[in-house]
Amino acid sequence: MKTKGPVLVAFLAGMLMISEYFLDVDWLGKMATWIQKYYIIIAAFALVIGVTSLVRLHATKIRDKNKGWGFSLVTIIGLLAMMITGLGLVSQDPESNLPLRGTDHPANLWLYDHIQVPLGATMFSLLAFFIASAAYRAFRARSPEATLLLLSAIIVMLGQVPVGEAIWDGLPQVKDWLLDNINTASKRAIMMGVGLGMVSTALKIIFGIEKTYLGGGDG
Amino acid sequence: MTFPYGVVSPLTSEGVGIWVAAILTLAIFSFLWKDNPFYRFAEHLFVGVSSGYFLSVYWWTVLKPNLYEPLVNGFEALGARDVSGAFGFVENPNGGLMVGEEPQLRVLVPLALGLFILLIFVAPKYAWLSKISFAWYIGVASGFAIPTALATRVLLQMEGAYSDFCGLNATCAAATGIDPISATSGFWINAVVMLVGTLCALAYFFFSLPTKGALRVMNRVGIGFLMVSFGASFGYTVMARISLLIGRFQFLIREWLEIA
Repeated sequence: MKTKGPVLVAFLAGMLMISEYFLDVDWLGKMATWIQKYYIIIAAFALVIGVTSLVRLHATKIRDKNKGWGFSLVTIIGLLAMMITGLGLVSQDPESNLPLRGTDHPANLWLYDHIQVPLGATMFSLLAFFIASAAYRAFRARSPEATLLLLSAIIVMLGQVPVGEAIWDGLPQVKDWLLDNINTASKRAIMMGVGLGMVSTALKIIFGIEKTYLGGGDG
Repeated sequence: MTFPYGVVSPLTSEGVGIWVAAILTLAIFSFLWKDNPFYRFAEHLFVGVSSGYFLSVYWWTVLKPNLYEPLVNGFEALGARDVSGAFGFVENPNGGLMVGEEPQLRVLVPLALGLFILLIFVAPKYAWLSKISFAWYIGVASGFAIPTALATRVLLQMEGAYSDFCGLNATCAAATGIDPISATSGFWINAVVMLVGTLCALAYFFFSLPTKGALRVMNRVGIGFLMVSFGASFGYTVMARISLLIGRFQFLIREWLEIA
């Protein structure tokens, strides 16, 4: 029952959404609209469970004074600072006198602008160094296919910067042609494959063939 | 206000922010040397503030308007002994009641499903109830994905692959907005390249027949197209990361050190 019940729920929910797309029935359309609203509410609870899991992990490390517990404290402080300023504080806009809360609150904005954005941007910019070393390994022209990979990457990279145009003024046009035609043709084929894969996986879930999303447990 | 050593003053609200951002930026960059406590501090702080930020964004944009407010309105209506209004039912012009736009207490259903998920932590004995929530969530996503994926990822892409050739047929050309007269030879070359590329790249993923003869040729051409595409994607990614890196250096040099 603990498995059959959820499989039946997935079947009914899935069939309802499919029916709504193909049948022009008023109440089905309304029901699908609510279901989509309910869907984002449940997704928000999934975020809550993620954050709860994060807090439990770091709280346990702090309580047991495990190695690196001080860094766990930093995570908890960062989380609380963002939550308090984003959920609890309210101030007034000096010009419009409207209340400022949530992500519009000055304290939350300060944390976002001076901590979250620089940290996120630097973290991702760090990948430029690692991607350069990966490029060295991937772009060695060891085979005709690897040579094509190397050439197209060079054309795209140089075609986007002024130095590329300085080398040859036709380079940006070649880059555009590559992206608009060769790249689009390949992406189109990949997208079709992904689309068919999505449909087959979704059908397997709706008809109860694929049940791994339910995890283990007694059936 | 310039600090004596040429860097921005940390004595103003904006200055403190720039100093904090600069120190954290350098802490992350220190990972290029090796994993160290400064990097780990910045990394853990990033995880914490990001989680807190998304939690507050979800509250204001999802939970408050779609769950909290309907619940409050529903219970207020219930307090005023308006049971049908509490569940979002409104007067039907043809008589009787009909389901209204506002869900009110009907949101108790997603609330219950959401709370079932939290049972994993709160009451592990009843954690199996969370399977109902996950099943509902996955079921809705699957049901939604089938027509959407078919329409946008398969049919629309197929249409895109052959639509350029509509110029050969007056009726089709009129329907797709292609003017056969203005279509140059370059247009046709590109259209053929696109169609051949799509078919050959698809052939590369076709495993139902042995790769011999024409299929082998298509396979090889398909690999070529795919390699060019992967190279272009890689080039784009490299440029995006380098652009971010330049942005961080510009911040350090212009805003923090106030050079140039």
